[in-house]
Amino acid sequence: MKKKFLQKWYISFSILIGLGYGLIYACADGGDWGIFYQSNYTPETFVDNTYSPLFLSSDIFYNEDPINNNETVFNDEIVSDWTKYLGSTMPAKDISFFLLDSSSTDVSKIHTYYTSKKANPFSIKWSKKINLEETKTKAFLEFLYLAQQVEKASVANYGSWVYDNYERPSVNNEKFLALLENKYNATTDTFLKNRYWFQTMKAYFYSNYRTKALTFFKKTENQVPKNNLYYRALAYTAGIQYKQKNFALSNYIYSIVFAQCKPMQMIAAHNFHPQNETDWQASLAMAKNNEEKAALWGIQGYYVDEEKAIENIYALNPKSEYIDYLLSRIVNSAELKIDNSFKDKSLTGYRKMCKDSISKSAVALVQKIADENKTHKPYMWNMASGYMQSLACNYNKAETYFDLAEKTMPKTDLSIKQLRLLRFINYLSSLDKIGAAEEKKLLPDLNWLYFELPQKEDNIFRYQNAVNWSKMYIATLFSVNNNTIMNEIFNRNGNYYDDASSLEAMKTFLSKPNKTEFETLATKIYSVTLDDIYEYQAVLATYNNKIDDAISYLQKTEKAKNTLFYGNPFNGKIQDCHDCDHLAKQKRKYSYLDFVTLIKEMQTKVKNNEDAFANNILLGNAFYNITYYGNARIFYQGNILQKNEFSNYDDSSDKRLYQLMIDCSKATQYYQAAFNTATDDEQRAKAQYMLAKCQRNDFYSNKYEDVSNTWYLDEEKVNFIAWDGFKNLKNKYAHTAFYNDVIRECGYFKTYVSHKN
Amino acid sequence: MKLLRVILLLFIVLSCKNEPKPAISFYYWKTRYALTTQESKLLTALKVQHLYIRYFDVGLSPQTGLPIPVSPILFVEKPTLQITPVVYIQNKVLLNKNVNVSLLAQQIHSFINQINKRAGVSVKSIQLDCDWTENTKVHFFKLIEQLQHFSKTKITSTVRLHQVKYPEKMGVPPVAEATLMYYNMGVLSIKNTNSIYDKDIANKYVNRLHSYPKNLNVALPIYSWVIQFRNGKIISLTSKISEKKIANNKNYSKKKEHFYSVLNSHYLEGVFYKKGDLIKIETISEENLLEMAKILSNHLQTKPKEVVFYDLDEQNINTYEKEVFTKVVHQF
Repeated sequence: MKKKFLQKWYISFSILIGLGYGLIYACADGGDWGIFYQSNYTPETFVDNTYSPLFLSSDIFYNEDPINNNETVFNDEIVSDWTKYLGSTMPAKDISFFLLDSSSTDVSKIHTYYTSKKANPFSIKWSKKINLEETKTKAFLEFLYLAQQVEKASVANYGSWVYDNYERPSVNNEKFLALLENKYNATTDTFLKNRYWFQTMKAYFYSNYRTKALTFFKKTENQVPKNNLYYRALAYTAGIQYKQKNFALSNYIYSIVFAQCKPMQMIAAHNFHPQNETDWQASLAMAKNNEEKAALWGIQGYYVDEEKAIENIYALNPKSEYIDYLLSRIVNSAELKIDNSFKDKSLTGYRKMCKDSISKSAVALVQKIADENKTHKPYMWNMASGYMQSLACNYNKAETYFDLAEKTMPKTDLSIKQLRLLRFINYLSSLDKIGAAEEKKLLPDLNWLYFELPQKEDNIFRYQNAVNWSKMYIATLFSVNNNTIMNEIFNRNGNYYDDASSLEAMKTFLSKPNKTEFETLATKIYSVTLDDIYEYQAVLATYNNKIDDAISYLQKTEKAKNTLFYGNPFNGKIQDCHDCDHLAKQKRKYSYLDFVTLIKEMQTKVKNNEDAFANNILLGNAFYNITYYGNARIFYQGNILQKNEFSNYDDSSDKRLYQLMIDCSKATQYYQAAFNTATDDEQRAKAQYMLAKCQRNDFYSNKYEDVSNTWYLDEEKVNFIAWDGFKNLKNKYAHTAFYNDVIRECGYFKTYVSHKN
Repeated sequence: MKLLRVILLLFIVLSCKNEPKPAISFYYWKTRYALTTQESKLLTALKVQHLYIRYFDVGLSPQTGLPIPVSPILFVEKPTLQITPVVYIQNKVLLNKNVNVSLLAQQIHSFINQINKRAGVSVKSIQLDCDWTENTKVHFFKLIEQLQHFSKTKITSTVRLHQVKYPEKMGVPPVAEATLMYYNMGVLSIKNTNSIYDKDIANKYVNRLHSYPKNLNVALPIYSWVIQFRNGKIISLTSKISEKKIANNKNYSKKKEHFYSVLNSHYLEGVFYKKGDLIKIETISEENLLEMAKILSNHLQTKPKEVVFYDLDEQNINTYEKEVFTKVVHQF
């Protein structure tokens, strides 16, 4: 059975993956935004803009959708052609309406008027605007009537719940096809004749008589001008050849369309599709001259192997413009392979990675072509060669190519910026250490990169990658010098402020007067301010219950001390709901400084045994609210303790924050003190419930602390745990009004109470 | 007493032996229904009487955001055996809070009828396939009920392993029977794992099968695919290429089991493979299929009425001896 089966291969098209498993992994790299932000080389600098869809992209085309493009690419040209032809006989907006808008009813009714000679509402309406009897106008509308019949077959109608709509109607009316061909034969006006010719081709293509399109094309192709209509028709023949499995011929024809009709380049590249090596070789053999061969390599290079394509095209015609866009793809793909994470934090490691990543054959090819100076844009090759040498760590050699590029390149805004950026990257890449001289040399470019360029709206020039890369590189240079402050400034490290001496060193640096120019730039790019550091110290002091310190640090801040809490941080409710607390009406808003100052006052009162229960409860609430469970999470979300509570807490600084966030021990301490100083059962009940909240939080925090991935947890039921606080509330304070409040508001407690055990 | 036990045991053994084996069925998952000679021959040889045919997907219109049929099937020939239309509902369709489930059920019902009429077939059941989630289960289950209401036809559904493992959370579809999809277990990756079937992953799920409150039929994979990696990243996924075709091609060199490196840049079946690319073939062996059947047989509460192989395609069935399909159902 198996052997027998294997004799005949038939590969049928099927939905790739069935039963709902639909993944397209090939495009999962984040789209062109990804490439834009990982690149230092802007293809638009020298490559003709018409090639932009073919620039390297993680999508099929760069910033283009082939399907949408296919439907609209010729709209402007069609309107322009007809506007020229019709001249003053019809206003431009009406021409545009008839050609591009929903005009089929109007066109059809005007056609009825022409054939019946009887006026109808549509002919009357249009007669008021245009002269329907004018020869060219009449010819236009009659042409349009036929073209719209063909269009019914060429435009898909998907997305309907009527099954018949999915079968695209073909132009199967032989009389209609004959009528069109006759129109072509009979028309003498060259403009109209050319368009009837195209419509005849199109109609045959969408009919059940597709091969007639081939016959008709062969018979007439020498009589029509080689304009875009010709190449559109030629593309129809390529489609028919593909359908007939004449892949080599189909691909050869698409390469001609690719070469001769720029608006169709993307469509041709999309449809060019050799099935195997033999097809490809057969297509090459069909090429009649070097120009056609170059076009085949030009289209093939987009799909597959840019280097090989460039080699072949260059040998055929070094002045070909196909190699421009292919070069941009080589450079872009080379730089994408560079890992900019500096993961081993050493320059040696980084350089080794660069050398290992770059294709030596690509570097050599680009250098060879640059050296031979035979292309039509030698500066493009010199600049690219400079960048490739730079990526290969040959920095001096790179500079010589940049010099050559500068001499001959057209001085456009983009080319000047591009050269400056690549030279900057090359210079910085060449540094093994950084001192005053290097800092001075880097300063103008860093100011340009970090501050000037982002001011300008520019979505073409790719400089953002250099911003991040240069910071990482400079940080690594400073780490070579053991300059931990500058290292931190250029590459923030989550643990830097864990160390008290580092923290103080940074404070000293940031408050230092008379900074050098480089230090001033560094301070400007650093996202942490002196204010942030004092705020961080104040927050830590608060968590550690060192309130005097907290007050003192906050008083040194300008902004943080006045930051307001969203809700009242002294509130303690039966249910934790920070959103509700934020929305609740507040007579008074509390700033960070108010908060710690009030804590201080309350602590003094407790110490003096003044209204001890109330103050202890309020203190418990205050420390409770600055945990993850309370209404004042904002307190730990400062710029240094900035990681939000949903991160993975992988590094130690995050773990430290995590411990701070979930720690209810201070709150517990004050709630216990409240219980101890309570004067009646209502107060005791309340204190017990507040203690239970802390016990609950600890239970859940501990239970899931070691779970690395909650998705792997088994489904489990709610843990109706009897916290000590619950037990006490149930056993000793069931007679209190507070107990009834809890029963009303807390379903968890109510379930626990109603539990028979 | 001892004798009674022996008799009872014998009775159980005998009764098990007499219980019919599951019927063999297939999913047909192409957009044009036209069986090749080999496909027809296999159906005849295995005496297959029932085929599940994917009719269309339901997706959302990019223009209107409303549900629309996607890639409906075209019957080039009339099926000669009993068929069950399968409709794949993209989960996003049901995520919309305002989706009119009743209208959608009517549309699906009507669209299936239109296809049936055109194909000249009548159907006795409809299967809905949806990777429903906690957020969409309410809509999906309502859709099943509504479709049942409008079509007056038996509705079945597919279920995935995670839906079976967590019935409390994921719900249980209101159908008489469901088909367990026992494949697509992992993610595509350069590792040695097989995303189609992974025994370790499967084992994490099968323990709950015995308590699932619905009778389950079983769907097993017979497909394979080629994953192409460049610089460690997946760049293409191509189905219907056999490992043999790669192994016998001089442009490839075998690195290890199911992994090949591309020696020369070339085209194969319309895909370009560049020198240095890495190719991984994920496939399901006869042993895999027998193992899957055995594991399922040990864990399912009731014997499945049908084992449905995914999917009927000449390229897929070429990989196996026809006896394999029978051997697999005999594991139950």
